[in-house]
Amino acid sequence: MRCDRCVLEREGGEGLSIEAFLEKLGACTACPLLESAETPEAVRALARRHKETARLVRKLGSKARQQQIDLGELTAEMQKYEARVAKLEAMHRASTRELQAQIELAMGQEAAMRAMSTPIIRVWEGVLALPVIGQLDRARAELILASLLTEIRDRGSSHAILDLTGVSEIDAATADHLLRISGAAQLLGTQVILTGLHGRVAQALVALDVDLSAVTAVGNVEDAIRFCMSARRRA
Amino acid sequence: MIQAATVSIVHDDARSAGRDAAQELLLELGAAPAAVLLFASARYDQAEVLAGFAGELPPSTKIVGCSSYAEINAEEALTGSVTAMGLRLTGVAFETFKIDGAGADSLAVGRAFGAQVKAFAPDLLLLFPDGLKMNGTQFLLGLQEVVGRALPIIGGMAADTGTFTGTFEYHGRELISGGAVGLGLKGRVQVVTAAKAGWLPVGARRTCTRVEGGKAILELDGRPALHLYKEYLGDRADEMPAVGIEFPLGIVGGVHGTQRLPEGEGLLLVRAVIGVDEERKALLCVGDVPAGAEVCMTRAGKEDLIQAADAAADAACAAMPEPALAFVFDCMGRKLVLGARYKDELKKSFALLRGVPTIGFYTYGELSPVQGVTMYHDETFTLALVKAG
Repeated sequence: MRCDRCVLEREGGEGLSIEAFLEKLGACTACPLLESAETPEAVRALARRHKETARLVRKLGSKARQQQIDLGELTAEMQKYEARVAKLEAMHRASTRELQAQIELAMGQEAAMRAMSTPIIRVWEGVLALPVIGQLDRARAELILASLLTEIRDRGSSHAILDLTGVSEIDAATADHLLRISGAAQLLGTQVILTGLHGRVAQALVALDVDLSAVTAVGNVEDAIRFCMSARRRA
Repeated sequence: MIQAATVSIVHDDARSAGRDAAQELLLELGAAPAAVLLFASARYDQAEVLAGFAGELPPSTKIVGCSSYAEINAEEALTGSVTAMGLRLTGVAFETFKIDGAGADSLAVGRAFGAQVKAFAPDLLLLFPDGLKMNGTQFLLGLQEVVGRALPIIGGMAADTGTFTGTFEYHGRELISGGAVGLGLKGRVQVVTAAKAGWLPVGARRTCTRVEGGKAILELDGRPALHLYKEYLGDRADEMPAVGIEFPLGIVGGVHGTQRLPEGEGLLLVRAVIGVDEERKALLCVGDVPAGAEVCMTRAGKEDLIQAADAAADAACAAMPEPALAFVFDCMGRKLVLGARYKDELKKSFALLRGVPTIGFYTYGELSPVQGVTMYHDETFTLALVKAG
């Protein structure tokens, strides 16, 4: 398209910004000035280069604006991801809080169960009874030992009945725990009496070849209480 | 013979963008094109773009196109551009078509448009209906009733910037909204098409038990559609309605014809959820979902979408290794899902096409044949290759 007023001819054309000048020159596709045979070749060559420059500027401008848009899209995308990450973090925090509450609840329940698993009953003056139910592992044996020693120290008990009616299986480690409990109690002046030994448990203790000479064993809790009363009378 | 060139211009000013694009096109082609396909970002004032563009071209040049969400040229996908393909055709006749259809029944408008097309009897139709006021599926059905289902139709529904407020179509120097425009090519024209989506069905099939106007799904299996959909979205439900684009519905049964793909095609016909009606607990779709259709939820990762586009490129380019023209009509929803990686979806196509003049845009619904019959797609990558002879 031929421009309305040629930027090369128009008065004050030099006052145009370089962008505007190149834009107008680049838009002209049928310039008689350039087509004329009278136009010196140098001028024509210069004008052609100007037009190429104008086109290049147009393309570069377009590219730059496109990259600005791309950058804007990337920024928006990043913000979207950040919002998503923030949401995931909030969900993580909420689930962690929930998990922590569940852990605390479980720990409380475990503590309550432990307390219930080592009840120490004062069955007579100076006589404590401690029924053991279920498996007697190291942790539980430690707990029983600590609880029993505290009770002995606080109450000055002369006898402690360890009722094993609820223990159906026994192994070397359990037997060792029992002996440790018994030994520790005796150091504080308390005699430990085992009751409720099942046949299988008794067989296992014998088979384990542990020294049971320091341990007193009777049939049941009633016998044990009777034993204690008799011992106290003798004392 | 087909001579073509594609240009893209990004400018702050709409009229300048149109003008510069036309000037570049003239320089690239070396002569005025006989026909032009024009896709301009909906960011621009559409009348200004068209005025700037048409003002640089002779009246004999026929212009057809529409507003777009983003554009595609022979080198890349880009946002905010005016992109145009100029065509100079020898031995291939062409004709342009236009219909105003705002507010009218899309099926009837399709039939009327079909009558225009049939009179020319093209071998290929490039079609650009309005993306919001036209029901693309119904329009296509009406058109195919008249021209037959064997005519290859490619194109896409006009789009805007994702606000779903207004889309525009160009026909010559005229700007319309709510209608449809098309370009028919007649002669020794060979066409190869491929359409791949990459969306994977998830979960149970649900029957659309209550649908209004083909686009508002009120109930699935007798339950409020929005409730079911939000259950599926889980913790992302609070991102509705924007997140709906990322989790379209797949039509898996219950309807036939051009609204469900044949078994074994390996392509799920999907429908994007572009909004919700909270009051009526309804899902709003761009594409048509007839009552009785069985749908399922779908999902896809970025890689799934890119692999689907790659597969489409492989299939089309294997079928036509040396095309004269390439057309890519891709969904705006895929661009949203791909985010910063949206350009990756086209890498394979460009590598295989090696500079073949290409044009396309990101649409509100794609039109592409599957097994010889054109269907209305959503969230699908479509590629068409054309050559004369």
